Amino acid sequence: MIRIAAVGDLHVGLDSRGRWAPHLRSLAGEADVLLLAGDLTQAGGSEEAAVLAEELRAATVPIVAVLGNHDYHADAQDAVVDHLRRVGVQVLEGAGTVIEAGGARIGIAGTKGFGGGFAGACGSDFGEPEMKAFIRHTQGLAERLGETLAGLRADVRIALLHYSPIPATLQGERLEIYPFLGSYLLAEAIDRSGADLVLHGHAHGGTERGMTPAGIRVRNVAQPVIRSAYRVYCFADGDLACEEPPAAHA
Amino acid sequence: MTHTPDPPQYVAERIRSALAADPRVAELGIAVKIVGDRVQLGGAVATHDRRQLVEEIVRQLMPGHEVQNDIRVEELGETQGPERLR
Repeated sequence: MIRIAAVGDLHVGLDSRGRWAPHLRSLAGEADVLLLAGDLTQAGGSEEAAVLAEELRAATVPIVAVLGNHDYHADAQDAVVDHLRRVGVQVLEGAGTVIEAGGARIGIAGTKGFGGGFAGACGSDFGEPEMKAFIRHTQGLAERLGETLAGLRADVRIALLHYSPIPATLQGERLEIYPFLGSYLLAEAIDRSGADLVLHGHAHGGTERGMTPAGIRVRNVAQPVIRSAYRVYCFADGDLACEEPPAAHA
Repeated sequence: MTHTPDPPQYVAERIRSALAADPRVAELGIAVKIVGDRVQLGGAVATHDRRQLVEEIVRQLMPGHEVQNDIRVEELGETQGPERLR
Protein backbone atom coordinates (compact mmCIF):
# COMPACT_ATOMS: atom_id res chain seq x y z
CA MET A 1 0.00 0.00 0.00
CA ILE A 2 1.27 3.46 -0.91
CA ARG A 3 -0.15 6.54 0.81
CA ILE A 4 0.71 9.96 -0.54
CA ALA A 5 -0.10 13.15 1.36
CA ALA A 6 -0.17 16.33 -0.69
CA VAL A 7 -0.86 20.03 -0.34
CA GLY A 8 0.03 23.15 -2.29
CA ASP A 9 -0.25 26.88 -1.69
CA LEU A 10 0.85 26.95 1.92
CA HIS A 11 1.73 30.64 1.49
CA VAL A 12 3.89 30.68 4.59
CA GLY A 13 4.85 34.15 5.77
CA LEU A 14 6.51 35.54 8.85
CA ASP A 15 3.07 35.44 10.46
CA SER A 16 2.70 31.66 9.88
CA ARG A 17 4.83 30.35 12.75
CA GLY A 18 3.09 27.42 14.41
CA ARG A 19 0.33 27.18 11.81
CA TRP A 20 1.50 24.00 10.03
CA ALA A 21 3.64 22.02 12.46
CA PRO A 22 0.79 20.73 14.68
CA HIS A 23 -0.94 19.26 11.61
CA LEU A 24 2.22 17.73 10.15
CA ARG A 25 3.21 15.90 13.34
CA SER A 26 0.41 13.36 12.86
CA LEU A 27 1.33 12.66 9.25
CA ALA A 28 3.57 9.63 9.88
CA GLY A 29 0.59 7.41 10.72
CA GLU A 30 -1.34 8.52 7.66
CA ALA A 31 1.10 8.72 4.77
CA ASP A 32 4.46 7.50 3.48
CA VAL A 33 5.50 10.76 1.84
CA LEU A 34 4.42 14.41 1.74
CA LEU A 35 4.36 16.20 -1.63
CA LEU A 36 4.24 20.01 -1.77
CA ALA A 37 2.80 21.58 -4.92
CA GLY A 38 4.39 25.04 -4.85
CA ASP A 39 3.63 28.48 -3.42
CA LEU A 40 5.26 27.34 -0.25
CA THR A 41 6.04 30.93 0.75
CA GLN A 42 3.99 34.10 0.39
CA ALA A 43 6.53 36.40 -1.26
CA GLY A 44 9.54 34.14 -1.85
CA GLY A 45 11.72 35.69 0.83
CA SER A 46 14.55 33.87 2.56
CA GLU A 47 13.14 34.70 6.01
CA GLU A 48 9.79 33.22 5.03
CA ALA A 49 11.55 30.10 3.81
CA ALA A 50 13.24 29.78 7.21
CA VAL A 51 9.81 29.82 8.87
CA LEU A 52 8.56 27.27 6.34
CA ALA A 53 11.51 24.96 6.94
CA GLU A 54 10.96 25.08 10.68
CA GLU A 55 7.28 24.15 10.22
CA LEU A 56 8.15 21.26 7.88
CA ARG A 57 10.59 19.79 10.40
CA ALA A 58 7.52 18.56 12.29
CA ALA A 59 6.78 16.03 9.55
CA THR A 60 8.69 12.79 10.00
CA VAL A 61 8.01 11.42 6.49
CA PRO A 62 10.11 12.24 3.40
CA ILE A 63 9.05 15.52 1.76
CA VAL A 64 9.32 16.31 -1.95
CA ALA A 65 8.42 19.76 -3.27
CA VAL A 66 8.24 21.97 -6.32
CA LEU A 67 8.25 25.75 -6.12
CA GLY A 68 5.41 28.01 -7.26
CA ASN A 69 5.27 31.52 -8.69
CA HIS A 70 5.17 33.11 -5.20
CA ASP A 71 8.43 31.36 -4.34
CA TYR A 72 10.12 33.19 -7.24
CA HIS A 73 8.75 36.66 -6.46
CA ALA A 74 11.70 37.95 -4.39
CA ASP A 75 14.24 36.51 -6.87
CA ALA A 76 15.51 34.49 -3.89
CA GLN A 77 14.41 31.05 -5.08
CA ASP A 78 17.89 29.61 -4.51
CA ALA A 79 17.76 30.69 -0.87
CA VAL A 80 14.28 29.19 -0.56
CA VAL A 81 15.59 25.89 -1.93
CA ASP A 82 18.61 26.03 0.42
CA HIS A 83 16.39 26.42 3.48
CA LEU A 84 14.26 23.49 2.39
CA ARG A 85 17.19 21.22 1.58
CA ARG A 86 18.73 21.97 4.98
CA VAL A 87 15.74 20.26 6.64
CA GLY A 88 15.81 17.34 4.22
CA VAL A 89 13.17 18.44 1.69
CA GLN A 90 13.91 17.39 -1.91
CA VAL A 91 13.06 20.24 -4.28
CA LEU A 92 12.48 19.21 -7.88
CA GLU A 93 12.57 21.30 -11.04
CA GLY A 94 12.81 19.32 -14.24
CA ALA A 95 14.01 16.38 -12.19
CA GLY A 96 12.72 13.23 -10.58
CA THR A 97 13.27 11.13 -7.50
CA VAL A 98 12.26 7.69 -6.28
CA ILE A 99 11.30 7.13 -2.65
CA GLU A 100 11.09 3.62 -1.22
CA ALA A 101 8.30 3.25 1.30
CA GLY A 102 6.21 0.33 2.49
CA GLY A 103 8.06 -2.03 0.17
CA ALA A 104 7.18 0.04 -2.89
CA ARG A 105 8.94 2.58 -5.07
CA ILE A 106 7.21 5.96 -5.43
CA GLY A 107 8.53 7.90 -8.42
CA ILE A 108 7.99 11.65 -8.54
CA ALA A 109 8.72 13.95 -11.47
CA GLY A 110 8.52 17.59 -10.50
CA THR A 111 8.29 20.96 -12.19
CA LYS A 112 6.69 24.28 -11.38
CA GLY A 113 5.14 24.29 -14.85
CA PHE A 114 3.80 27.53 -16.27
CA GLY A 115 0.85 29.08 -18.10
CA GLY A 116 -0.25 29.51 -21.68
CA GLY A 117 -3.78 28.16 -21.63
CA PHE A 118 -5.61 25.13 -22.88
CA ALA A 119 -6.21 23.55 -26.26
CA GLY A 120 -8.42 25.72 -28.41
CA ALA A 121 -7.77 28.87 -26.35
CA CYS A 122 -4.05 29.13 -25.71
CA GLY A 123 -1.10 31.32 -26.50
CA SER A 124 1.19 30.51 -29.40
CA ASP A 125 4.92 30.60 -29.94
CA PHE A 126 4.42 33.58 -32.25
CA GLY A 127 4.91 37.33 -32.42
CA GLU A 128 6.80 39.49 -29.97
CA PRO A 129 9.89 38.12 -28.23
CA GLU A 130 8.07 38.38 -24.87
CA MET A 131 5.21 36.21 -26.12
CA LYS A 132 7.53 33.65 -27.63
CA ALA A 133 9.59 33.54 -24.42
CA PHE A 134 6.41 32.96 -22.39
CA ILE A 135 5.24 30.00 -24.45
CA ARG A 136 8.73 28.57 -24.94
CA HIS A 137 9.23 28.56 -21.16
CA THR A 138 6.17 26.30 -20.81
CA GLN A 139 7.22 24.16 -23.76
CA GLY A 140 10.66 23.59 -22.24
CA LEU A 141 9.32 22.68 -18.81
CA ALA A 142 6.71 20.33 -20.30
CA GLU A 143 9.27 18.59 -22.47
CA ARG A 144 11.58 18.05 -19.51
CA LEU A 145 8.65 16.81 -17.40
CA GLY A 146 7.81 14.20 -20.05
CA GLU A 147 11.43 13.01 -20.21
CA THR A 148 11.67 12.79 -16.43
CA LEU A 149 8.43 10.80 -16.12
CA ALA A 150 9.52 8.43 -18.86
CA GLY A 151 12.77 7.76 -17.04
CA LEU A 152 11.23 6.91 -13.65
CA ARG A 153 11.43 3.25 -12.64
CA ALA A 154 8.82 2.95 -9.91
CA ASP A 155 5.63 1.18 -8.84
CA VAL A 156 3.69 4.43 -8.85
CA ARG A 157 4.64 7.48 -10.91
CA ILE A 158 3.48 10.93 -9.91
CA ALA A 159 3.76 14.25 -11.72
CA LEU A 160 4.10 17.04 -9.15
CA LEU A 161 3.36 20.52 -10.52
CA HIS A 162 2.31 23.96 -9.37
CA TYR A 163 0.44 25.06 -12.51
CA SER A 164 -2.47 23.00 -13.77
CA PRO A 165 -2.25 20.69 -16.79
CA ILE A 166 -6.02 20.67 -17.40
CA PRO A 167 -8.93 23.12 -17.22
CA ALA A 168 -11.24 20.77 -15.26
CA THR A 169 -9.50 21.41 -11.94
CA LEU A 170 -9.72 25.16 -12.54
CA GLN A 171 -13.51 25.18 -12.53
CA GLY A 172 -14.58 27.90 -10.12
CA GLU A 173 -11.85 30.29 -11.30
CA ARG A 174 -12.68 33.04 -13.80
CA LEU A 175 -12.35 31.76 -17.34
CA GLU A 176 -10.41 34.89 -18.35
CA ILE A 177 -7.43 33.92 -16.16
CA TYR A 178 -7.13 30.28 -17.26
CA PRO A 179 -4.06 31.03 -19.45
CA PHE A 180 -2.27 32.22 -16.30
CA LEU A 181 -3.24 29.12 -14.34
CA GLY A 182 -1.84 26.36 -16.50
CA SER A 183 -1.15 24.83 -19.86
CA TYR A 184 -2.32 21.83 -21.86
CA LEU A 185 1.33 21.28 -22.86
CA LEU A 186 1.91 19.82 -19.38
CA ALA A 187 -0.97 17.34 -19.83
CA GLU A 188 0.25 16.41 -23.30
CA ALA A 189 3.71 15.56 -21.94
CA ILE A 190 2.23 13.58 -19.04
CA ASP A 191 -0.14 11.64 -21.30
CA ARG A 192 2.70 10.80 -23.65
CA SER A 193 4.99 9.48 -20.89
CA GLY A 194 2.34 8.04 -18.57
CA ALA A 195 1.72 8.58 -14.86
CA ASP A 196 -0.56 7.28 -12.12
CA LEU A 197 -1.43 10.63 -10.59
CA VAL A 198 -0.90 14.33 -11.27
CA LEU A 199 -0.88 16.82 -8.40
CA HIS A 200 -0.97 20.59 -8.75
CA GLY A 201 -1.93 23.73 -6.87
CA HIS A 202 -2.07 27.42 -7.88
CA ALA A 203 -5.84 27.61 -8.49
CA HIS A 204 -7.28 28.52 -5.09
CA GLY A 205 -10.79 28.84 -6.48
CA GLY A 206 -10.63 25.63 -8.49
CA THR A 207 -11.89 22.08 -8.06
CA GLU A 208 -10.05 19.09 -6.59
CA ARG A 209 -10.69 16.38 -9.17
CA GLY A 210 -10.17 16.03 -12.89
CA MET A 211 -8.35 13.91 -15.44
CA THR A 212 -6.12 14.38 -18.44
CA PRO A 213 -7.41 13.68 -21.97
CA ALA A 214 -5.80 10.21 -21.73
CA GLY A 215 -7.55 9.49 -18.42
CA ILE A 216 -4.80 10.11 -15.85
CA ARG A 217 -6.19 11.40 -12.57
CA VAL A 218 -5.41 15.01 -11.70
CA ARG A 219 -5.87 16.47 -8.22
CA ASN A 220 -5.75 20.18 -7.36
CA VAL A 221 -4.36 20.15 -3.83
CA ALA A 222 -4.23 23.92 -3.32
CA GLN A 223 -4.89 24.35 0.40
CA PRO A 224 -7.95 26.58 -0.14
CA VAL A 225 -9.41 23.80 -2.32
CA ILE A 226 -8.80 20.85 0.00
CA ARG A 227 -9.52 23.00 3.09
CA SER A 228 -7.19 20.99 5.30
CA ALA A 229 -3.46 20.71 5.96
CA TYR A 230 -3.08 17.92 3.39
CA ARG A 231 -5.02 15.31 1.43
CA VAL A 232 -4.04 11.64 1.33
CA TYR A 233 -4.20 9.52 -1.84
CA CYS A 234 -3.80 5.77 -1.58
CA PHE A 235 -2.76 3.00 -3.96
CA ALA A 236 -3.57 -0.44 -2.54
CA ASP A 237 -3.60 -3.93 -3.99
CA GLY A 238 -6.68 -6.16 -3.84
CA ASP A 239 -8.97 -5.69 -0.85
CA LEU A 240 -6.34 -4.03 1.32
CA ALA A 241 -7.91 -1.11 3.16
CA CYS A 242 -6.37 2.33 2.70
CA GLU A 243 -7.02 3.46 6.24
CA GLU A 244 -4.88 2.37 9.15
CA PRO A 245 -6.78 -0.12 11.31
CA PRO A 246 -8.11 1.62 14.43
CA ALA A 247 -5.95 1.09 17.51
CA ALA A 248 -7.27 -1.65 19.77
CA HIS A 249 -8.64 -0.43 23.08
CA ALA A 250 -6.82 -1.68 26.19
CA MET B 1 -10.36 71.83 -16.95
CA THR B 2 -12.21 69.99 -14.20
CA HIS B 3 -10.80 66.73 -12.92
CA THR B 4 -12.97 63.70 -13.61
CA PRO B 5 -12.63 60.93 -11.02
CA ASP B 6 -11.15 57.72 -12.36
CA PRO B 7 -13.73 55.02 -13.08
CA PRO B 8 -13.97 52.67 -10.07
CA GLN B 9 -12.67 49.69 -12.07
CA TYR B 10 -9.28 51.41 -12.52
CA VAL B 11 -9.09 52.41 -8.88
CA ALA B 12 -9.93 48.84 -7.79
CA GLU B 13 -7.24 47.42 -10.05
CA ARG B 14 -4.66 49.89 -8.68
CA ILE B 15 -5.50 48.66 -5.19
CA ARG B 16 -5.14 45.02 -6.31
CA SER B 17 -1.78 45.80 -7.89
CA ALA B 18 -0.62 47.55 -4.72
CA LEU B 19 -1.59 44.53 -2.61
CA ALA B 20 0.35 42.23 -4.92
CA ALA B 21 3.43 44.49 -4.92
CA ASP B 22 3.53 45.12 -1.16
CA PRO B 23 5.91 42.46 0.23
CA ARG B 24 4.19 42.58 3.62
CA VAL B 25 1.14 40.86 2.09
CA ALA B 26 2.00 39.90 -1.56
CA GLU B 27 -1.67 39.03 -2.10
CA LEU B 28 -2.95 38.32 -5.60
CA GLY B 29 -6.34 36.89 -4.69
CA ILE B 30 -8.11 39.84 -3.08
CA ALA B 31 -11.35 40.93 -4.73
CA VAL B 32 -11.76 44.70 -4.65
CA LYS B 33 -14.94 46.59 -5.49
CA ILE B 34 -15.56 50.30 -5.15
CA VAL B 35 -19.12 51.35 -4.44
CA GLY B 36 -19.39 55.10 -3.89
CA ASP B 37 -17.17 55.94 -0.94
CA ARG B 38 -16.94 52.33 0.20
CA VAL B 39 -14.20 49.80 -0.68
CA GLN B 40 -15.38 46.19 -0.43
CA LEU B 41 -12.70 43.53 0.05
CA GLY B 42 -13.31 39.83 -0.59
CA GLY B 43 -11.38 36.62 -1.20
CA ALA B 44 -9.28 34.67 1.27
CA VAL B 45 -5.85 34.84 2.90
CA ALA B 46 -3.80 32.39 4.94
CA THR B 47 -3.60 34.21 8.28
CA HIS B 48 -5.56 36.65 10.48
CA ASP B 49 -2.56 39.02 10.57
CA ARG B 50 -2.54 39.20 6.77
CA ARG B 51 -6.27 39.91 6.65
CA GLN B 52 -5.77 42.84 9.04
CA LEU B 53 -2.69 44.13 7.19
CA VAL B 54 -4.54 44.12 3.84
CA GLU B 55 -7.26 46.25 5.41
CA GLU B 56 -4.72 48.70 6.84
CA ILE B 57 -2.95 49.04 3.48
CA VAL B 58 -6.26 49.74 1.72
CA ARG B 59 -7.21 52.34 4.36
CA GLN B 60 -3.92 54.15 3.69
CA LEU B 61 -4.46 54.00 -0.06
CA MET B 62 -8.07 55.20 0.13
CA PRO B 63 -8.36 57.91 2.78
CA GLY B 64 -11.91 59.09 3.31
CA HIS B 65 -13.37 55.75 2.23
CA GLU B 66 -15.11 53.18 4.35
CA VAL B 67 -13.40 49.78 4.08
CA GLN B 68 -15.64 46.73 4.28
CA ASN B 69 -13.39 43.77 5.02
CA ASP B 70 -15.13 40.53 3.98
CA ILE B 71 -11.86 38.62 3.47
CA ARG B 72 -11.94 35.06 4.81
CA VAL B 73 -9.04 33.38 6.58
CA GLU B 74 -8.33 29.88 5.27
CA GLU B 75 -8.56 27.39 8.11
CA LEU B 76 -6.62 24.13 8.21
CA GLY B 77 -9.64 21.93 8.88
CA GLU B 78 -9.88 18.24 9.63
CA THR B 79 -8.24 16.01 7.05
CA GLN B 80 -10.68 13.77 5.18
CA GLY B 81 -10.01 10.06 4.90
CA PRO B 82 -7.73 8.95 2.06
CA GLU B 83 -8.98 8.76 -1.50
CA ARG B 84 -8.27 5.34 -2.95
CA LEU B 85 -6.88 5.52 -6.49
CA ARG B 86 -6.21 1.81 -6.97
